[in-house]
Amino acid sequence: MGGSLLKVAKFIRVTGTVQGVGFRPFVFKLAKQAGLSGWVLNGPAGVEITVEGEPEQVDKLLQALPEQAPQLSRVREIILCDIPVQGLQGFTIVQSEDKALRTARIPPDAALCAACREEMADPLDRHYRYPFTNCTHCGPRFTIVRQVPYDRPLTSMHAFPMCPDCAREYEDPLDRRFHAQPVACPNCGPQVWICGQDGKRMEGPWDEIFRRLIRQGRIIALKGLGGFHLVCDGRNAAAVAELRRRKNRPYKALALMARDMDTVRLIAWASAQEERLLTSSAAPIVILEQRNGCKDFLLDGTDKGVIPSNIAPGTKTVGLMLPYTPMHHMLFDEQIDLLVMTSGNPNGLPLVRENEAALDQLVSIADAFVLHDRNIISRCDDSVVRVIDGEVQFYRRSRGYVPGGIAIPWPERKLKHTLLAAGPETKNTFALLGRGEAYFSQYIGNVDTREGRQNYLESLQNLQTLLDIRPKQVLRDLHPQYRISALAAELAQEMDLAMKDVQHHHAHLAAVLADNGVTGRAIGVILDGTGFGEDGTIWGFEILTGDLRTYERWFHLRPVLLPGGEAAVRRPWLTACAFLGEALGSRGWEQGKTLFPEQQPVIEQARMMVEKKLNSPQVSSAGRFFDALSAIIGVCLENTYDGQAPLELGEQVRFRLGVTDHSQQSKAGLDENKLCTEDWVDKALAFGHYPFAIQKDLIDFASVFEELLQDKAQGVTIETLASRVHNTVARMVEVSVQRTRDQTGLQRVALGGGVFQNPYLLTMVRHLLSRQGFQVFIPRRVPANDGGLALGQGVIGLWREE
Amino acid sequence: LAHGDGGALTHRLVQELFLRHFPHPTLHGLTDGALLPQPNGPMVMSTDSFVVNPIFFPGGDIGKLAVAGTVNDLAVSGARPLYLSVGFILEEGLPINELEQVVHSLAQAAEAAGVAVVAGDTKVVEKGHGDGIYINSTGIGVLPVGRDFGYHRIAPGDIILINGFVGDHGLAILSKRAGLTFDTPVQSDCAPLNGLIETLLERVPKVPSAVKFMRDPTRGGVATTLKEIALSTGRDIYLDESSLPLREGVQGAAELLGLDPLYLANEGKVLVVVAPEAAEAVLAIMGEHPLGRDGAIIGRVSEGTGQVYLRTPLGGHRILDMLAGDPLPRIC
Ligand SMILES: [Fe+3]
Ligand SMILES: [Mg+2]
Ligand SMILES: [Zn+2]
Ligand SMILES: [Zn+2]
Repeated sequence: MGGSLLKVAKFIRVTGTVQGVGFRPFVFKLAKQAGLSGWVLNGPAGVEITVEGEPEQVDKLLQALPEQAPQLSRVREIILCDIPVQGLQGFTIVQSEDKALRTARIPPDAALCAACREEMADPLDRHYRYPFTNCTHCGPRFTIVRQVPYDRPLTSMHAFPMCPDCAREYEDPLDRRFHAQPVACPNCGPQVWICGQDGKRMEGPWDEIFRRLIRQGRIIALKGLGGFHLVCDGRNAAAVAELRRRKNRPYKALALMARDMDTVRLIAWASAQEERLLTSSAAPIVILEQRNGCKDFLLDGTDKGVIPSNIAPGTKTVGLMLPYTPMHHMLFDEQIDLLVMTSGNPNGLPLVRENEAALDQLVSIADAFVLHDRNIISRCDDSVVRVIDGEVQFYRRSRGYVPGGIAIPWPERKLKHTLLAAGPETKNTFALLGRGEAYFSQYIGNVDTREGRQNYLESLQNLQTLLDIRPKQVLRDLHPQYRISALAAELAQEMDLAMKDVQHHHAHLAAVLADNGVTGRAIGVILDGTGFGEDGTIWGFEILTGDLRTYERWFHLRPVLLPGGEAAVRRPWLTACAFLGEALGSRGWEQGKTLFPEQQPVIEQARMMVEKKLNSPQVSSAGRFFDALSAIIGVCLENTYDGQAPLELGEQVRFRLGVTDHSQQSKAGLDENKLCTEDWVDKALAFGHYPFAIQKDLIDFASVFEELLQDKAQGVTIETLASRVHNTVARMVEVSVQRTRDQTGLQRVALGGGVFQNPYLLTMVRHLLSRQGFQVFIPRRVPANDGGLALGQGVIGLWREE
Repeated sequence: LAHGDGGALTHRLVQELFLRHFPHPTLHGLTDGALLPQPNGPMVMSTDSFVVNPIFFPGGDIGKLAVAGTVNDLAVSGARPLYLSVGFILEEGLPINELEQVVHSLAQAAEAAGVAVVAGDTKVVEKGHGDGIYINSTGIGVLPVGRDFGYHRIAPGDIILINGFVGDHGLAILSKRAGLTFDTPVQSDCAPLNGLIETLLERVPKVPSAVKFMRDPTRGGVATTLKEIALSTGRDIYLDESSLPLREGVQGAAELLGLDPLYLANEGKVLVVVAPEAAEAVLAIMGEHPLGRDGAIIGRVSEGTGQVYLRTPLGGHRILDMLAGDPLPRIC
């Protein structure tokens, strides 16, 4: 009991996402409980703690730090050192010294927490029905921060001085709102109002007017967290049709926001894993299987188990999310349980985020506008995920995840290196690499407009500031006509950066490897739409070998001359004719005319274009192959959005491998880990596949089309045809990967490219290859599609010897 | 057509074919040089070679093109074209009647444009060493006093006009090459523009001329030409998609071929940059000329960094760049 003789003192530094997440109050409480003295502060590289006390108590604190850390935090490292005991008294939170809290992380935006939700529902609480309620466990972060350190004056909350009540909570280390920068209440915080197309405010409570208009079938532009949504009643097929007409979006699925988990369960199957995703603080859109299908007729609202068929045409899925801001919770009531929530932007342009811009750009779409006066600093689209074969797959990684870092293999000799991976041409997402991690931007979208380019440059500027990463190098795609490549060149010149090109499919391969922490060589199966190959033609059905430095091309699909190039991408029926012509010669072209009789003259002209090689680039691509198959089978003739034909074809297979389709597959209920048994793979395979040939490095599809046409002539069902062509592609992959192993001895296989968003194909290929003894890697923290491309560009920039 | 004898046959060709079509006395002297009177003002000279395939296309042929191309290059620099030289490279085996047709059309175009062919040359190359006919034409014009056009005169706020439909020539050539026919046949716009330009320059307010700059959007089309202007001036250019004169037939055919009319060649079009206050007047004058009837105001110049933007009906601004090579799919 000799007091200070038995005491120890330690300096502790916690790095990672530890600011703005209630980390200091958490440490404060721990220290108090343990009777320790000292202080905690936000240092330049994270949270710094100095503690003094009995060794067991200090150990207790050290153990609790990672284990009980606040839910929004992400502890990366805990660095310890012993320091002399000074006999400190009490424990305090030391105010941030404002000098550069540079490498500390800004957390992603987080969905409303349970405690705040309760307060919102409590008529006696001062946050009752306040649409901007938040605390250290929830609320806006990335979307409102202008600069680091993450302090109120540097966020868009600087315009709202705190009232005494809010200030008290903000200052109290034991309060849930201690130093929660966006803290606000009805007395001091941002306000919401609703107005018509003329911008004039309507009288009355905004939420009541909103719900009245929704019930009337109106379309409303709603300012949210990272931008505007366009909203209408998800139960009203006519309203949905009108929204589609006005937004010029005829078929692409619309996301729904459901009032609560019960509503989700009414219309979709959700496993425990999917429910965890829906209710996570990231609160993404989760693609689920429809439970009872959809109906064409106008719904009278009595059958709550079905959705209008124009929500997700051509699919058996539905993209659902739960309310993630306090404002969202106020949109629903006893009757309104389902809202369409689609991104508020004119086709191809960035998300609208300002009130005036909304009134200007969305006036031809929305009947009314729900606006508020908290500025959105960074746009952030909703994230989209799907559970495939028990694994979470990103379709789009944005809100709720950005700007979180992704730890990746990092070469020793380049510890200080930083770089910019410029990302893909369409659906752009870029990444900054530094300090051992890749930091992805939010979803950027197209950069081929002034608005898109501006969005890119601004987002890049923001991310650089928030992360304090100045790139020394820029990596870009090899495609000579990408807008993004020209933009990368401009940036390189302006910022005086070294610039290097990366082949598209090598980047896809490297992304999957880095995502799985693999630095060694592997076989890469990259199935996607379009990538520029080193021979000047378009690639996209690639069996490669390679690592983070180099690659070799082993097998690819037999190329086709695509009449009109990109124009054919919108017309799968035309692509189909090109494949038929390549496979079967003039007989193929004639078959095309028989299949699509109303297009005969155009098909004849396309044939001549191909013969004369007039604007008919050579294309070898899985996406185009599926376009062709989808059109021939008669599933989808026109692509009104990227990947429509392959997606709709994928929906036609008999066994929905890899997804939570309990109606067919699992009587046992929601047992998530038994979704894809080997048994189901075999049953799916039993539908058969079409023969193909492999000659040298070419995978030849000629006999596929020959037999597919025979099947079709004999009236084989679409379900069977769809199953067979998918099995065929899986077999093509299996055989060519085995041959690659025979020649290289490689056992590892990485699957990448947008086509692997198809659950059937991902699951089938994964299982076939696993059976053959391969170690199969799939994307995990970034999308399989081009949304993950920047990861590959970045790691190749790090690892490649120049 | 035979090749390799150098003397006799070529001489006969020249005597019987070319001279019949080209009446200028200086040519008939058959000396090695053309003696021309001294012009009144600075001379402007321009040369271009024509290798178009096919030689004959809807709306014209390589002969007419050889006149229009060079005359237009002179005219857009503000000069009045006066003289032309033409050099033919003929491929062995070329049917004589085809040659005759080309020469005839070249002569007619020159006459219509008011330029005299004052020098010429003919060579025949072995079969397989050419595409039937290549023509080089060189033009000489005179720049009237006080005319000053160039990048230096372009300022923010200036308006951009074009004298008619975009992309006709490029599309006519490509569809002929592939043997494509369309419901609405597409014809090349190939025409010498010196008449139209002269009218404009004479009739619009002068000192300094409200017309500041002209350029013929030939290879690379309107987009490439405007990008050159933007880069050379460091200004941005905004085009308005809805005001671009575009024939329905061209639009439909371009869609099928997967080509953007803004990148298709024109051979009878001029882009005119004018001071904003004179734009309507220039358009009206243009509209009175047969080659300017479908003219339109299509864009404006603004401060910037050398970008060209196309304002789409959705309200976005598509970035237009120069096209390097044939278009390749970009969608993944
Ligand atoms: Fe790709
Ligand atoms: Mg020229
Ligand atoms: Zn909260
Ligand atoms: Zn307050």
